Amino acid sequence: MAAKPEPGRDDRSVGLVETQYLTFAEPPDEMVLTSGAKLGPITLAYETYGQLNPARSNAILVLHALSGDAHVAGRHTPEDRKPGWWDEMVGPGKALDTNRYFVLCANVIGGCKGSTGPNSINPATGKPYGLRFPVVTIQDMVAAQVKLVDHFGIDQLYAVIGGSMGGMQALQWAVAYPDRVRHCIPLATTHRLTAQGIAFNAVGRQAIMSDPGWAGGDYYGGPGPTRGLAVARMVGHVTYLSEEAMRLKFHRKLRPDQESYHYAFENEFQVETYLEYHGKGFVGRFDANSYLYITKAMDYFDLGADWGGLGNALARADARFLIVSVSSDWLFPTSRSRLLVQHLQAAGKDVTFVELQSPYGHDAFLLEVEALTALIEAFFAADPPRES
Amino acid sequence: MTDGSSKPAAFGEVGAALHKRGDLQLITELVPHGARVLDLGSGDGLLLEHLRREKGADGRGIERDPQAILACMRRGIPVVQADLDAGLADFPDRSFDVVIISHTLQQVARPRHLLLEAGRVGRQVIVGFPNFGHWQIRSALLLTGRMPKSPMLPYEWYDTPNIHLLTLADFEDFCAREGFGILRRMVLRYPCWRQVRLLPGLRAAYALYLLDATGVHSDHGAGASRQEAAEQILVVEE
Repeated sequence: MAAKPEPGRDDRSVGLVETQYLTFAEPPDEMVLTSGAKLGPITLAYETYGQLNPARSNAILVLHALSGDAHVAGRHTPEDRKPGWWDEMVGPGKALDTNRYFVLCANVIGGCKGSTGPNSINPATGKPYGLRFPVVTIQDMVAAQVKLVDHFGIDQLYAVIGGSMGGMQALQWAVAYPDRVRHCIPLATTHRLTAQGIAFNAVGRQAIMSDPGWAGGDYYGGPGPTRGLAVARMVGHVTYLSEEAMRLKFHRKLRPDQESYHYAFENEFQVETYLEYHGKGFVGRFDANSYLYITKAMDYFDLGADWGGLGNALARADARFLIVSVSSDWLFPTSRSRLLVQHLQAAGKDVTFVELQSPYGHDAFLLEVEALTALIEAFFAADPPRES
Repeated sequence: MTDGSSKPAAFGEVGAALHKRGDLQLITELVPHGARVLDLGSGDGLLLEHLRREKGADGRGIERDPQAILACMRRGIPVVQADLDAGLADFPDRSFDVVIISHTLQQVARPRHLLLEAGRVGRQVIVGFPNFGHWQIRSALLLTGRMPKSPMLPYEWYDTPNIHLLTLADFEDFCAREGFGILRRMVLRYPCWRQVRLLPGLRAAYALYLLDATGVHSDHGAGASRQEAAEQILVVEE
């Protein structure tokens, strides 16, 4: 990725931003989850960029993926090394143009970036929930986001957009709340994971739970399952890259300080040190229990199940759809997106579908900024927010 | 390889843009008000936008080229990126009133398959193609012994996108054989787009047909492709 300009000098940045919090579902009015369990109070960490117009018709809800958070764009402090995770897409003059749109994003429930999750304090015990946190689903995540959208008095979102698990949420929004979504942009996603997708999530969870440091989920205050979480991330990371991307990036190169094989078991190949680096980095910024909860939510998600089939589910939607897949994504392959397109076509819905030609694999939805920007701008151009 | 540039520029991109627009009004005449229309090879979406404005049509496009898709999107035309050679598996039977194949039929790998697919997805099919039986083409081949070129078919044999050339007679034989009823035929000169009455097979540069697809033999390729589509979903699903 191209080097980013200095924060203070980037006039296409949203600049300094602050995470905000909304708390609701205070007992006895807890939220009833898909599982039947109750959760409350619930706090959502969220950020907003741009201004809500008087008609409240220009709001775009960004939905983050497994390891994302509410911090989409800008920096929290001038010293921040990196901006938000989709900074290249959100800002003045960018695809989600903050001069025109009011962009908001909330950390999912079950997450660990300020929203209520397994590392939050359980009001019943005064200690972190751990595994006493109820299992949440994509439906629950979206139901919580509805409260945030209500909080801003927004009847209808101009758009919902997200990749991967964010795309699952975008689909859930369009189907469960059809009158509240005008444009739906699911990127590199599916209405339900295949066995292969579940399998990779299961391996990640097993890595965490088989680390003695996990301690049945009650590791708060200690280091926790650092090795297990790192391995889970390494597995995940491989699934986000294509064979071609890995080959181009690493080939079979050895680490820079090594000229020949050591005939030993330390990390020798660059791809090994790369995965190790990202695995370890992840441990510092993510909670292992959240990884369990969020991957489980992805596994359970089946858009058609609540509505008697995928066709019936998508027939409920009123939004204009822009569905984008990535040619080299083998985790959420194009065939999954085409299935959505087929059902939307069958229901006579307004659907545009594009397969992005990219070597980057699943991660392309974060990397192919130029192509995605062109698509999103063209999609919005024909149907701008209403002024009143 | 430098020969690749010997394409007559006057009939190249400019000509293509002109003739794309030339038959717009004629196609529009063939489309009923409020029709659901699928345009195969929808390009920049100009035709569908025109049909929406003039006929209140609900138009969808299929297109392969990324830039053309963006142009469609800016017009608010829903478009699905697909290769027509792969068929129309994303579209259920009889989901459109009219399917349009304009300036495209002679460029696909399996024209018969595409026509039968169009006949499966639509009740009516509008097909427009350059007539390879035009007298100038016939005489050029006869007199020069080389692959003929014309304002509408300006390419060299080795770089032409037009890989399945046909004549009016060929097409009408095909329709009779496959069960397409010919509801209307517009036989046209180029570049004036005036209709030809006398000796159409010789004097037409382009032909537009409105076909009734409801009698298309379902036990041919179209039926098979429907089966393929169903199987594709099954394979994807479980």
